[in-house]
Amino acid sequence: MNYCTECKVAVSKTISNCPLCGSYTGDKEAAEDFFPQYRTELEPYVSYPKLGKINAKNTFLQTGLLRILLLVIAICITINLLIGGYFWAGHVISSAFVIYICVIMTIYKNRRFYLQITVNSFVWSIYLVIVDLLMPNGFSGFSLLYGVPGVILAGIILIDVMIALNPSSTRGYYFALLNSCFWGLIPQILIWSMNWATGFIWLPFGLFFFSIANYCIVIFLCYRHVKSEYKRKFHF
Amino acid sequence: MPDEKTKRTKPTKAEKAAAIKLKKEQAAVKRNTQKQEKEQAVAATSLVKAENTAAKKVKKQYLTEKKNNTQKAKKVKIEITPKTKKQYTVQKKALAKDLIKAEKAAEKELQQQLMKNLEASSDFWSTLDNAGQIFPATQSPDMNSLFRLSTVLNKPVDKQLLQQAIVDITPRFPTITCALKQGIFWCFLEPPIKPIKVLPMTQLPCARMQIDSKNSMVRVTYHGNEIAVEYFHTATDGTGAVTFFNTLLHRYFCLVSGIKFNDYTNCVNYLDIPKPSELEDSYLGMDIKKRNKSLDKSAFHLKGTHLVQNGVRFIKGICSSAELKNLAAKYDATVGQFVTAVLAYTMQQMKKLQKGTKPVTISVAANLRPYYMSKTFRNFVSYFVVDAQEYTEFEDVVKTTIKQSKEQNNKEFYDELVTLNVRAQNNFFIKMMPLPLKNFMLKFAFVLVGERSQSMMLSNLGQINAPEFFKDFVKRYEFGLGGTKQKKVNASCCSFNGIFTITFASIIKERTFETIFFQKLSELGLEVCVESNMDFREGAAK
Repeated sequence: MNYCTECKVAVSKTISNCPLCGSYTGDKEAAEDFFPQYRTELEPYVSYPKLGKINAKNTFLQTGLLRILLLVIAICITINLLIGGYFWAGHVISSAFVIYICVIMTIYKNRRFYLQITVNSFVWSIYLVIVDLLMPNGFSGFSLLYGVPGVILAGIILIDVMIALNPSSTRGYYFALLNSCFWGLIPQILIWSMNWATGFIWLPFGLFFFSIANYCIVIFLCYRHVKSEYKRKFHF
Repeated sequence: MPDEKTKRTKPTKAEKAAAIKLKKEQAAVKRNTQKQEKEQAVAATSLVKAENTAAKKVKKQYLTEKKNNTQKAKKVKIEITPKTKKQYTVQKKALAKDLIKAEKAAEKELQQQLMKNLEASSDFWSTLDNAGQIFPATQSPDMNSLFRLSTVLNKPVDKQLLQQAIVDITPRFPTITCALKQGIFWCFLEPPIKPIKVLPMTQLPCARMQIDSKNSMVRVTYHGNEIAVEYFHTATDGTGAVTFFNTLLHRYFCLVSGIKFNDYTNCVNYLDIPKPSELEDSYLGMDIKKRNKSLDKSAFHLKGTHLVQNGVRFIKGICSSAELKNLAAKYDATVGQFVTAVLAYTMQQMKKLQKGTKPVTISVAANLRPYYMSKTFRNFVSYFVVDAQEYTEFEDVVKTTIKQSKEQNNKEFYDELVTLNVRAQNNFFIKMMPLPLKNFMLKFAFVLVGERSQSMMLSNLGQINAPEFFKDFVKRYEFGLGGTKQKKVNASCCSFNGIFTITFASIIKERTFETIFFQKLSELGLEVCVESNMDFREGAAK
């Protein structure tokens, strides 16, 4: 063992400088009778890995890009307000929202796949509605007639495929399917309640009944799993 | 008359000549034969000689050829032609493929084993205990909410056997090895979908852990003779961690030695089914009393240059338990009280150096299990706070530490302290709040109440009980905390088999606090050996 005369502590023979004060620890004579149990029973067995330079977790994409997005939004809103007219900055805001939730958070949150599908479907639906609302000619309804139903339908089909490929998959897929089916009912309900479209629009209508069919199948076949998953997610 | 005898005895001239001739011929023949024999002998010896020389020549030739060949081989450079390069890359790829195949096969086997375990526990899920709620909310790059338990063995660690051991014991501790999932109102625990992998130590201790719904809240690493297990604090507290760690070591030693040990002191048989008493949230069984204490005041915090590394620096002090106990007895204190007093004294010195004005308080973790007869493996811990007040003399600090420890370290005190947290959990409006909003409020409350009012934390595991046969395998235990944002340095200690280890976990580059602490112990006459996982020159600043 080596010995630090400043701190009056012993250190391992492999260490030339005291870990506390940095003094040279070459004085072996002073450590001869110092805590002999350490020298005989512990010192030969202790080693530390050489780690090299380790940096903190790189969260540039998460924090840095968020700051860049906020800056861009702020600049666009300022320019839009100064110029006036059509509120095109809304497109920038909604796009930034989609990029952050669907791309950056996906990378950092390490979500389960079914959750990714659900979140992406929801976020893209909101995005399409916002885009539709911000159109120069006003709300055309294409988002509710085609955009949102298309996205939700794609999500439901994808979840059905994942469940079919792996029948013993987790309860989470059933939970995600039920959530997506719930969203799938909304476009048609809105169309009926507000009398938007004249005539029959097959996409939201088909989605409505497809969602109901999925609901029935999942609840009849996997009731126990669904109940357990809801109990966990909504416990308070 | 002539004599017949004389006629017979006298040979004639011819006869004489013939005899002489015969003699000559015989002599010649004899000479010839002798000559021939000589020649033959000479020929034979010359033949042997020739053979020997020939053999030597051949041998010499062989050796020279060999030498020439080796020299030639050294001189000859392998020409890297596109053909040879292609062959080499093909071979390399094939080797890499084999390695990957072998790794995948091993992982598949692990996954199958885990799936079997998961099937057995597929319906298992659990809410978080009261203390565990705070950690997912307060996790940040500066605060990992991790702690580490490690041991130094007498032999190098066998990675495969350790991997087998961790897979075997995983189903026995479902609440510790669970993954954290986020619900709508609260987080909850579920079995992870990825097995706990044994990893080599390539990061600093208590480096940030990915807490998600796929991976367990436990990380197992090894290096040389050391096994370390790092826990996210939601999983368990120190006492639960020791039981888990001892069970892991028990299983590992059984696999290493091939002996089935039946001593389960402070550990459990991995084949048992988890008992309800081990999985319960014991906080809910506490007596709720009205909290009389007001909000704690802000405390003095160390200043320093942050380390840029992801993790903490450990500085460990190792000494004899018996000597430390004798030293503490001189001041009529227990080991825990004595260590707390030395920490408080050290912090007072730091306050003088850094010209602080706020009071110095040391938060000491306390295990609540003995007070409530709980056997849970989950969090069941609280703390009491020792205020060094304005005392700067060591003896005064020790006296006030002992006094405050006795006043606070009792059941009534903890009932009051934990009341606020348990009531908050049961409050209807807080229950109905969505999880993101709840996390935000918890984080805010933690910074306001948790960290602000404490200068540093001390967590003392005390004497670690373990099976008797552990002494043949284990040299010492070590217990270390993770980094926290405001409490730059935290301390933790434990003892085993006559060896006491105190570990300082620091997120700042400066080592003044640890230096003053160990110098004080040396001054009091204790022989201490110091180790660190970071060289004095290492530790780049932010």
